[in-house]
Amino acid sequence: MKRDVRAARKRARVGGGQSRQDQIIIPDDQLTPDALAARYGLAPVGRRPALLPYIREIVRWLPFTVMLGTSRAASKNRNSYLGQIWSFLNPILNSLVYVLVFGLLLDVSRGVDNVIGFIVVGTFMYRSFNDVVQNGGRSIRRNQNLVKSLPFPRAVMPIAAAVSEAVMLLPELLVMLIIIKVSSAIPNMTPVIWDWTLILLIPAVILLYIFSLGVAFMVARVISFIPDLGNLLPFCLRLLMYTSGAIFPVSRYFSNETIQNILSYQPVAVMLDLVRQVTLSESTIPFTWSHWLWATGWAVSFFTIGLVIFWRAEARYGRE
Amino acid sequence: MSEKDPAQESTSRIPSVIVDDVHVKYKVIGSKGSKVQAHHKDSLLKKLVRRGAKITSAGSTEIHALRGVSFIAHDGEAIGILGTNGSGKSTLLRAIAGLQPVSHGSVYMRGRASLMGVGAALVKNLTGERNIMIGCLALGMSVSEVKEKFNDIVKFAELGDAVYLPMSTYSHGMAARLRFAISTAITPDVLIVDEALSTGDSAFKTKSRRRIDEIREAAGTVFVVSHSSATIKSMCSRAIWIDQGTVKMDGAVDEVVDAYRAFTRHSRAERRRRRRLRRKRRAALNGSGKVES
Repeated sequence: MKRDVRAARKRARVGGGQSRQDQIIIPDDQLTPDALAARYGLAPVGRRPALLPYIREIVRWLPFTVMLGTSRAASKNRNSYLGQIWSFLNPILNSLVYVLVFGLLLDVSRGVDNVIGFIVVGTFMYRSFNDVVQNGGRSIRRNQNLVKSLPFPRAVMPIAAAVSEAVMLLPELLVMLIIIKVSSAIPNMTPVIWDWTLILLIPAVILLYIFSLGVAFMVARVISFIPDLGNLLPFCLRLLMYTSGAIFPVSRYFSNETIQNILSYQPVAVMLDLVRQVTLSESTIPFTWSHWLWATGWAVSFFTIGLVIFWRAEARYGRE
Repeated sequence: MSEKDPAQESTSRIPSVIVDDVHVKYKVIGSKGSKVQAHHKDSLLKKLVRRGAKITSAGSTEIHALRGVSFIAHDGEAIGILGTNGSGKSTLLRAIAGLQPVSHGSVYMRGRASLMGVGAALVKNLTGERNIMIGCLALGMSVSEVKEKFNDIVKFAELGDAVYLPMSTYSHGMAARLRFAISTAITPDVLIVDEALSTGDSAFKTKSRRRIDEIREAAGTVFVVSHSSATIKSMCSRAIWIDQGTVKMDGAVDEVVDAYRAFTRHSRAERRRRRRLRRKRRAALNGSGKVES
């Protein structure tokens, strides 16, 4: 009943809306709320902005995003004697475990020239991907308080998680390169010779992060509405690690060419091989520009699709 | 063109916030409350499922926090929000600030609202200095603005050199003062004060009251939530009483506060009466006629 009256008023206003005189006749207290809002220039609150203004908002909030990400990274290891040294020790020890078990004990290398280099690059890079997806994916849930008290675009949370991972990246990459160089000196391993392509390590890692952030956006949306799936995430990521050739060249275990191609051109495998191309001298992973096309394609499409998926639920985060 | 609109005839009544038939429902995941009561007639299977859900705390409950709230706030108004715990006050304020998704209806506003809650952005084991930066950026300030206001914030929070120590070393009062100083560093169009007045010692209280008054004068519209109806009476001209997710009363502050006080007094008396009755009945069951007055 009340609705009908409102709708009728609205229709009357819209019908004669062009003539200014008509508007003047209707006093404020008889206008529908939305018409009243329009008259005084009030904007609706809590609605999802269009995609382009949303991206502009994200850029405007970038200083906060970076500050939040770096601050969280800086506070992470405050409660241990070794402090930030743990951010190096963690990936080193992690890769050491895989080198010991898969490289030396099980020897699953299947014709890899420098097993240590292969595994170290795989585990360091996969760890970055893994952490961005895990922390970025859970960032909305984990920071409910923040999401509920401040009105920044929600995409800030996953991006801050990625920034937080990227803070220690440069020294981590240095450690990775040092391990590779040291492994060259070990008798059984083929020595690694670097050329100018080593400089491409930086863009390769940037592509990896863009791709990871895209995945994190998708995961963040899913987990913030169905938190149960957060419990499945670690298992999915571990499965992905073994099927992406992070530790052993998984595609060489299959003779079927289609399966081989799928396994070696899926996005994570492409990203890992991209880094191996420029940091190792594996005869089976030569430097090819086509791989860069693949990597760029995957990174851009995952990031775009992820951002759109995340943006579509922008007005609904923090509902619980 | 819009300046020539009929608004001219009532210049003092320019709407700044319009809340139109707002409903908020949210889901609480993972807790089937005690609301679900067992029925003797239920089948064994149903009982088992309910028991199982209770033990594993699986499932979800939907809460209908706001049930059709409508009002219009105008420029220059200070509106007190009254209501018992769980009546939907905070949900309403979050909905106004655009932080609580609305399931039906809409909220319109001019400019930006600020809910004085910057605490969640701060990182405990970093210095106060760093946290001022984080907090101010979280409120949407630019880096140069923060640098400009840094000294004011430190001075207002009475931190001194402690600003270079990690926040985890701060006393309860120091941390609260810092949060307050950061939160009030900006002047929003719509200010929402949620129980933030009870910060620190009495000297700081008067200081913070003065600060809020300043902001109130600069801001277009202010909403104040407080349990103390005296606070609301002293700060606001209008009050809205929220009860069980609906507007129970909306009008001049004195009227609403008096009605609210009468209501709470009544319901407190009612609770007391019921408790006494229960005790009496229990005593009668026990056979001994000992009844406390």
